[in-house]
Amino acid sequence: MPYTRRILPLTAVTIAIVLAWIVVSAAIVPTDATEGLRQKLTYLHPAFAIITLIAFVAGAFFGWQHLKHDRPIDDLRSYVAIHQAQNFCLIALITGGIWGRAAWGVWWDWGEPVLVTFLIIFLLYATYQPMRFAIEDPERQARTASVFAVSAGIFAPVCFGVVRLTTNLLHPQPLDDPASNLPGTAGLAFGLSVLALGALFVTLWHLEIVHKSTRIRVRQLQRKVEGEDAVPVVARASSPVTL
Amino acid sequence: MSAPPAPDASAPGTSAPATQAAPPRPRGTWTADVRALLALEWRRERRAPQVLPTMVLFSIGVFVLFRFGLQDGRVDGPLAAGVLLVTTLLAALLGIGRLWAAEEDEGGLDAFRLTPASASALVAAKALALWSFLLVLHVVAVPAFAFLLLQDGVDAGAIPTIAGALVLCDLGIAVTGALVGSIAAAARSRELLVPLMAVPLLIPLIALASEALSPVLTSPRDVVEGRWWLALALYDGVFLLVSWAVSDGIVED
Repeated sequence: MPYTRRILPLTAVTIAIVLAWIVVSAAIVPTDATEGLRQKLTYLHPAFAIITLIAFVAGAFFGWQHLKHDRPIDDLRSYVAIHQAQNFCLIALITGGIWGRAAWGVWWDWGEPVLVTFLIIFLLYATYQPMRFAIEDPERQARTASVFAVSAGIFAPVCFGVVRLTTNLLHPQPLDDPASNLPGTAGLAFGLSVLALGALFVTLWHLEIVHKSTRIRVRQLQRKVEGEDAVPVVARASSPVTL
Repeated sequence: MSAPPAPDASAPGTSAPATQAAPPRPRGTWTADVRALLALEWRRERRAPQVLPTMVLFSIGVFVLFRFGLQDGRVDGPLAAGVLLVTTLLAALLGIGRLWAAEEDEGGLDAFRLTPASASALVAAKALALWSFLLVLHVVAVPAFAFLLLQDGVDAGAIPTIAGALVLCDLGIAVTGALVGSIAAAARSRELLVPLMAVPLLIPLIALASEALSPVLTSPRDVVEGRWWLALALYDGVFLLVSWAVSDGIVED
């Protein structure tokens, strides 16, 4: 399986990029005179949010591939992309809360459309696993999950577009702001943060695919050797691909 | 390590290669299929009225509830738009929950698979059925809303604008609802899943419709910006495309 062969080089590259990101954002970029350490969250929180959205769209792409070609591996790719994106989304919400507490004095601001939109997307994707595992037939489960992945993956960018259209943003966008006095290295640190978390996502995605594929293969062998009842029905129903 | 194997050829969802290609269907068949399926939905509703009366009664009940909740207060502007649209959304959730019930519980989907009609025709008919139910709902609910809650009633000149915004909003709810209903239909707990999935998906639509409606529900009436209409139409268009694209995945066995 190509995923297994890619894990080692991917992990090495990811470690190198993550180290470069940490060094640049912690040691090279100067600490902001007015915002202090809080400003360093610019090199963490937005990158998580960006990678989350890209990952949800990737989940939609693999879901679409599954609907088109009916290959179980595409369903697994979609499932793992969404699963990892949910974790990234949660981290983006938590780091956003920490930033909000430091900058605005509140953990959460219901008047801030970007925060609320992100929460809406998180809540929508939170229904993915309950929806998926409430369907007993594994093939129907995979197909319905792909329909969900495509619909939600298209919804996420549309939702952000609508929010930007309907409301005036409070959310800071210092890198887009011509009046911002951030040094040039800030852009480098920001770019590295997106690259590092992107590489981390891809590595984790590979790891989870290998883990799940191995487990599925073991269960198949177990059933072959020990009989159909060797794998409990519950385990079969809650598998992301047909066992 | 090897990739998970392809499903067994005899398993459901996979079919043997066709030995004989089906003859091409004549043009215009798709619209005829949609018409027939839509007529079936309405016939079902006429024989055993379930969705429409429930939605209408629920909406009026919610307006009365707001009347008491707001301590006999009346609403206008954004608050009026919010009350009307959220009530519509909650009523629509009742309809979405029942939209695919006959297909799942009474074997309607299996019967449909035996016909040569395309999956997109069924999804389009479901969306059109829900859209028509919502339009009928608004014919009753909007006068009731104006009578029970609206500060200065509805200005006659504002009626086309209100109707236009509601038609676009209802289309978005119907298309998204048909999609969500089909996803939830296969699940054991579909009554719980429908609101969980539909509410986040419909928040942008409600936000846009509220922007389009609130100026005409304000006293004195304000001018609606054209961009809200365009954004509503775009949202509807995006979900129409998504529904059409994934319809085979919904119906395929």
